Amino acid sequence: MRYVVVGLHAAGRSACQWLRRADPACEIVGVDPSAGSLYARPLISYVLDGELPEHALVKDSAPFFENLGVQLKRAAAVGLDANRKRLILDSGEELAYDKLLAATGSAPRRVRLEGDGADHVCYFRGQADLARILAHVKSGGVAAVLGGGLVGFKLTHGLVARGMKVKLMVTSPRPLALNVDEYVGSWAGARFKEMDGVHLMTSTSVVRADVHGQGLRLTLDDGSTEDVDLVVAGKGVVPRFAWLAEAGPETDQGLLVDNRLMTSVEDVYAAGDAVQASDIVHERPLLNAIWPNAVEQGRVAALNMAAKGPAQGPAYAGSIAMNAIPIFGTHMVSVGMVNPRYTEGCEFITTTCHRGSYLNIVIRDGVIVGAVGLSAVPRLGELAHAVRTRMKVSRIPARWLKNPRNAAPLAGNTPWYKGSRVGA
Amino acid sequence: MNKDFKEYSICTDAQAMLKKARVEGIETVWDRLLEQQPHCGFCELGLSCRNCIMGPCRIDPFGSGPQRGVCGADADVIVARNLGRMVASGAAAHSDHGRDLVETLHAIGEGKTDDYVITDPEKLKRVAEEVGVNIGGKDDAAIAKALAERFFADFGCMNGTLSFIDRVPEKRREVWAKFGITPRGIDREVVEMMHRTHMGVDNDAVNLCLHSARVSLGDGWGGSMIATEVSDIVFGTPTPRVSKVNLGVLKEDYVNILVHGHSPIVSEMVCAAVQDPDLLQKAKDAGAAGINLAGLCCTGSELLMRKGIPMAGNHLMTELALITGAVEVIIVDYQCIMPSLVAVAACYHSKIVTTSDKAKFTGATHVEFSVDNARAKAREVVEMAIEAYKNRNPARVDIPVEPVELMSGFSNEAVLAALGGTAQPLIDAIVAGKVRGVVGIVGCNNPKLKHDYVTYNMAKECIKRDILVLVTGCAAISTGKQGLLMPAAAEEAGSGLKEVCNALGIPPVLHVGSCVDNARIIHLCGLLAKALGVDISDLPVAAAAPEWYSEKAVSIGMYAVANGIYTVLGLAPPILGSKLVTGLALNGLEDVVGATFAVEADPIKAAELVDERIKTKRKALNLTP
Amino acid sequence: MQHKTVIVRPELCVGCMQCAIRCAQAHSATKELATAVFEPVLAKPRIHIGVGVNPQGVLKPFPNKCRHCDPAPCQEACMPGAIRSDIAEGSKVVDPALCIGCGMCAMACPYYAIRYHHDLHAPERTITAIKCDNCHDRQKKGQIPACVEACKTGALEFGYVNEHIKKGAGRLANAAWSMQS
Ligand SMILES: Cc1cc2nc3c(=O)[nH]c(=O)nc-3n(C[C@H](O)[C@H](O)[C@H](O)COP(=O)(O)OP(=O)(O)OC[C@H]3O[C@@H](n4cnc5c(N)ncnc54)[C@H](O)[C@@H]3O)c2cc1C
Ligand code: SF4
Ligand code: SF4
Repeated sequence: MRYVVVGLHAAGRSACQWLRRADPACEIVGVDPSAGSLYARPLISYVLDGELPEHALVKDSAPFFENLGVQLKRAAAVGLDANRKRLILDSGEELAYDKLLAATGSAPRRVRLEGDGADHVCYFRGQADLARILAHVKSGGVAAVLGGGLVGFKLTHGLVARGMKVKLMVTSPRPLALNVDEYVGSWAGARFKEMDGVHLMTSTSVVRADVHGQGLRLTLDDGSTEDVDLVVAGKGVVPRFAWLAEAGPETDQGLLVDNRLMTSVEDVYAAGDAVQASDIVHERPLLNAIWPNAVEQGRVAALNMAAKGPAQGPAYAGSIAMNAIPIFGTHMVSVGMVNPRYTEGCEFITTTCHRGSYLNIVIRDGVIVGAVGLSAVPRLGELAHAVRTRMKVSRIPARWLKNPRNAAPLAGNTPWYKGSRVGA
Repeated sequence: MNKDFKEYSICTDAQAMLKKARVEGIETVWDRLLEQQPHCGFCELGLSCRNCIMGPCRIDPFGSGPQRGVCGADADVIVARNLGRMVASGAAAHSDHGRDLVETLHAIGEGKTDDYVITDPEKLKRVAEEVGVNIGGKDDAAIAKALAERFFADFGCMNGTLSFIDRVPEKRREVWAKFGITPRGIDREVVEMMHRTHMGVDNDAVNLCLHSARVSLGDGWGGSMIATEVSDIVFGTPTPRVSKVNLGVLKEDYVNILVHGHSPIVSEMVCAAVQDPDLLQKAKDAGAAGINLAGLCCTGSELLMRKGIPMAGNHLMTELALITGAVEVIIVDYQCIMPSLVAVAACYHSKIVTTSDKAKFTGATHVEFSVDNARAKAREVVEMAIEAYKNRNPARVDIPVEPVELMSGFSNEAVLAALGGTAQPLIDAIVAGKVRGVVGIVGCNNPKLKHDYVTYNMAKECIKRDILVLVTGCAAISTGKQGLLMPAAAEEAGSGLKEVCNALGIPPVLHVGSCVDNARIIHLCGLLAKALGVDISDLPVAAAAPEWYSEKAVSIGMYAVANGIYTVLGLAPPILGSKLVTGLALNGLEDVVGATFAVEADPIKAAELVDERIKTKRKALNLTP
Repeated sequence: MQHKTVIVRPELCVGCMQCAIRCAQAHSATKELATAVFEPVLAKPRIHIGVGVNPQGVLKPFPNKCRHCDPAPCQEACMPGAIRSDIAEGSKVVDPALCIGCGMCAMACPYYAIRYHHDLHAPERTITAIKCDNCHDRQKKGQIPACVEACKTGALEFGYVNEHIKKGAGRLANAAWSMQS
């Protein structure tokens, strides 16, 4: 049995591990042009802000893959012949497979700007992007960060730590509009406003970039201009699957899959950012381009690929949005459905604690569908589990809400939770 | 399961009895310790508070959980309150014991007892005069009554101070006055501590610790000292005498009676009763060769000091004494009597007889002793022992060792007499560096430390370094069992101390009494300091409680330090949860009272600490180190 | 292969918190309580007594700790790979040298088993994920986990889950559950 894994980052590596665990004798071929280095891309933001030394980011991947008995092809997939079960590489080589995993992730969404400076916009996705940004970082200089999402936040934080003045330009009226609720969004906005070196510009978009001296001159939608040394955009990601388009898989924004994570193309599975899997809360295919989903999907896909005969691997329960970012001395966290755009008509339970934590639980039809908080990470884990298992809010004891800091965990059939209701 | 009982005790009698207990399936204090371990970490650190029922509360010493009790008390306040209550309990125990003696003295004075008499009328008069009781034209009874009343007033605060306050050197009293820790009345300080530690009263850890010092001084110069002096007046001032120690003092063919607890009041009567020819005859009729009386713990020390009654063992030996199968009755008064004795006795024909309504034990036989019936009651108990002897199972008797000789009876009067009437020869020996200093090694046993190991080895190490050792209580028995209480032990001493001991014919380790008799040690320190015109904290002296366990020991340690005597403890008291209180105990108190605590369970290192202190003090007095 | 693990029987817990204090002690630099509380960076407990409520509304203590899931959601969420299975077989152990304190693992843990503190094993970082490591250091020396040793009531046992089930205890309670994939 020969498995070919295309893309060897979060999803692909997880798949390799589980393929090996499930089938000790199989042949695994990993395909990725950047297969030589082993790192986790989210860590580039920790290097940018100086938390992590640059040399600690990337390791040699050889021991990892050798250990798993994965044969590496440092090449990009450019095509797929599903009938002949051949993967076509940019080297021209054709690779036969029995089962294939598409784990080619996503690419940063490009910003479309007028002007000759448009090509100078940096993105923040991998080690090459990091290197490019670091080459432009100038202590005392000015950087524009486009996008008020999590990556925009991390960029701002990192560039300020590197001594730059940052203009954080956000299209929506407040930052993190998609990721957290209004309370946390405005809290974070206020912290940024207080922060030296940050200029938060909401309801602002850039329309044009022109080369101006050493730097760039940006023109904003209101016609005003800003001169900057560096522009970095964090405007979301786009799944990367063009290489197998020929094989004709069903797609929407990303690859569509069944609950065994197989695409509509026989024996071609998919995992990670490239996939648009069914979202647990929204109950429809959505992009949830985060690390834990990629790793979990890599595992579930692998176990299904390795399942023999009529046996099936585990069903994929669905993806979920969740995030935690350490910022301003605390963690800002969210899980499930929190975007105010979707939570209209939902109920909310908010709890705070004297040590400064904030927790807002989103409830739809009596079921916990999301949560967002500050300085409450560990409890968010339980709520993520609650969202995943569609836990009824009545299962949360009043005591838990009174002081989430030292309440027993929600998960599990702790016998005494039965019958104890919120507000009782 | 081959337990090596050598880990538990250095004493062969203890090891043998532990083995017998294991074979016979009898539980001892060591078994229960293992079951309790690990102990409650919060309590070990002093961080739990049960003072009110908004709580109980605990402070997380690792900082991730609560840092304050419900009331808002932090670690420092909770630790200081808990320590304060320990001191209060210890001081209360010594002092209530002292009060019982004053009541006896008063009963003698009022002619309400025939059983008790004044045995040392000369000391009666001396003490009465010292504390300002007018003795002119009064008979002994009248003086006894007046002195008793004077002491009663010490317990409240009617005197405003303590009768013995003039025994304290002037410089020391100035220190106390400066920090407001001069004791005003024995009970008053204890009651005030209970008040202060109620929720919402004293919430300053330093202030609480200062009051702890005051409570303990009320014990040392009050309750304990009164207990000692009145015991001498009523039962006689001890003089040196030789006796025997360890379980070998039990006699296989005799009716064996043990006295246990702390007070001489009951035990002295038992001591008289066992000499009664009628009872002796009864014992012989029961098939015994006679009646054998021996002591345990401090009651034992009281009888040993005054009457030379042999000593069966200390705190950790009390259960093991019963396991010989040769004990008919243990007569107890109060303090340090393990509740387990009743259960151990029930495994044999042995009986536990309680004698005080403040110390009853479920399952024991209670015989209430009072000043007007004590002699009769003592006879009753001896008869009970003779009866019990008939039920003894000789097959289960095992007296594992031969007894060891020891010399006891070194009251301050006896020490001065040995020196020829004044302290000068001792001072001269100290100045000459033959005796480099004096250390009081006192306190209990604790199963957390190898029984007698720390105390004995520390004493041995100190005498090697020409430091004269004074012992009381269980520590005295620890050293006595290893032969250090005999003049011959001078061979193990350094050359200077050896010379002095040989010249005076005394051991290098002097048994000065029970644990209330630690008052004798501070009294002696007071005498030396006055003779030299210095403060007690200037003397080349120290104290140690290597194997301490009790709240009384906390009070003793506290008054030692408050008197300016550096004190080495073998185990840390439950204060480590507070950096402030710990810092105060280990360092801060030096600037307040001129002495601190140290914690060291290694006997040699503990002796080194004492030696260092003595060196420093000798240097300051311009003496050779 | 089955590994011995800490089995929790919450119905026996009296809330004394000895497990927590002894856990912190076992993870301190000096390993002695008397000195551990004076260390410059205090060790932290990896077991926590949470407050639960019984059907009668009475508060009940609940000893809460990592279940060492397999597969472990925390491990899948950990981007730098700091939660390792190769330090001690059968245990998910945080490698403080790799942890960046991002918070993702706790987001993934359904049990509130991961907390963040300044850690004496990574003193240069402000926070590090701290969770039960099954006392693998103690186990190597033949000791059982510190929390189990401290527990007086039997609420914490060290054994094999399957044997525990066989014993008829039936209520694995929140014991050693694995997350179902
Ligand atoms: C700065 C930053 C911060 C982040 N922070 C977080 C966070 O805090 N929490 C979180 O959960 N997630 C975070 N993420 C998201 C997370 O990194 C992704 O969800 C995750 O990397 C997705 O993994 P993946 O394996 O699906 O795809 P990718 O990581 O995109 O990897 C795809 C791999 O496929 C290879 N590949 C691409 N095309 C081809 C081809 N044609 N042929 C062969 N190989 C190809 C690539 O070289 C790459 O190695 C962050 C991302 C970034 C950039
Ligand atoms: S006095 Fe304070 S610390 Fe003590 S139990 Fe009451 S509330 Fe708790
Ligand atoms: S219980 Fe939580 S911390 Fe432990 S392995 Fe599972 S997910 Fe990780």
